[in-house]
Amino acid sequence: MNVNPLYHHTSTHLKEELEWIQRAKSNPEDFAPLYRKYHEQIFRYIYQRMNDEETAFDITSQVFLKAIRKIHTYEFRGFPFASWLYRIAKSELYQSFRDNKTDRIVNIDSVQIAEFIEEFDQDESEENKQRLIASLAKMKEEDMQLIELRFFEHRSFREIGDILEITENNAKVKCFRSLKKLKQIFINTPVL
Amino acid sequence: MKHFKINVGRKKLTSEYIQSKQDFDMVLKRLQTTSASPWNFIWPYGIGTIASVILIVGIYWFYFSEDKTAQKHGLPLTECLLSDHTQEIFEETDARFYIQTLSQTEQIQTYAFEKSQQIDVSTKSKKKVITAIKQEQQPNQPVVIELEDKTEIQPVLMDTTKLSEVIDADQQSVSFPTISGIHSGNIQWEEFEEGSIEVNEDLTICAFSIQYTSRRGDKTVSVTGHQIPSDVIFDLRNIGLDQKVFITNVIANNSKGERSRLVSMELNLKFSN
Repeated sequence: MNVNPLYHHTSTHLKEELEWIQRAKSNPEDFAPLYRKYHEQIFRYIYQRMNDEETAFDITSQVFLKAIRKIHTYEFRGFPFASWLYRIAKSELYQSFRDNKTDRIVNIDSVQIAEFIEEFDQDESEENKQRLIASLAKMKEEDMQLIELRFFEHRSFREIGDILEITENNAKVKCFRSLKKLKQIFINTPVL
Repeated sequence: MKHFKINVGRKKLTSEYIQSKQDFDMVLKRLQTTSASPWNFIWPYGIGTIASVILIVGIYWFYFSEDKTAQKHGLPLTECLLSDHTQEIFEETDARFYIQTLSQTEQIQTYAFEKSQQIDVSTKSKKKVITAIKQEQQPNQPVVIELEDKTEIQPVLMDTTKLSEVIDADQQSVSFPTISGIHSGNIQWEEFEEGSIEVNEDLTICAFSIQYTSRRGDKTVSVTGHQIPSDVIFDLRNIGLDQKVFITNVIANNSKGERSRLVSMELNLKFSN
């Protein structure tokens, strides 16, 4: 499984990033390198969970605006800066769902569908694809977050833990529980 | 039940396209716009500011309303308040009245004042100025005067033209107030607890003051009637130690409605034999 290379820094990159953060604390314009570095992945995180592209770009801007405003409160405690941005993104995203009363979207491609069906030891038939889609729609928000982060976005357990503010081990346990729940729902969902 | 809408195979946006949409200048512009908004500056202080304004207006209104009363009568504040609230009583009797401090920490003191006379209430510690008079809703309830340091005093309003000390030798034996037959000296708790202040048949005790030591210090309570109040009993039982209890300003009515002040009592309250 691939991991997010921007998340897992070398010590040189980490040091460089901390210097950017320090400078951004005294001057908002110095936030620019952080913006350039993280804009795409924050946008993708948001757009993965919604339909409207323009709204996704707008929320991304809002995330960085909030980050600049609150950068003085950021302290490096072993978590990468990205996890801090993801938490803001998560908060802004759900705020947008509440404000605009829009549906929470789950985006999945045919390759991912095939991987799940294989994981569940089932045939890759059209019926099973439909069953899986129906099963995903029935998942609870907490479980879906974990499924998305781990199996759709291929994030490491450490990164998932940082984003959801849980330990790496806990993230691992929860991810597999959520997968188990999805499998259970899939088995109980009748063939359409 | 469906919780999500599932999209399958949505076209992926390229990194180049997403990067082309980056606009950090716009983020900075929004930052400046929102930072310059007066509401953003005000709102964190909003609640505190509103509360402060309400408090200031409340305090101003409270004092200003008193000033208006004083101005209406063209009198200094203290005098105005006194004469304002005691007007009805003066009209009935037009006599001298007594005002008595009820401070828990200081000795009881009595002051005489007359209609339109401005009085200074002094205690052992310092001179005090009357700032307000609170009158209970029921007409027969005592008036409470508040001093500038928030101490409350209760004026004992009596027609002094009819007041006479009954201490001559011939009447002494019949005019001494007693509890369980004891006027002064040692009294057992059980006798004190169940007793009320009695006097001879012709007189009825209508008011007195009692001074004692409670857990919170020295206390003086003005009482209407002849019964020791239950909260005084509670205080004394609570402390549970031998102590001196003074009963002063014992006022009695005779059958003709004439009032007399009787001799004060000094009791040594005993909890143990």
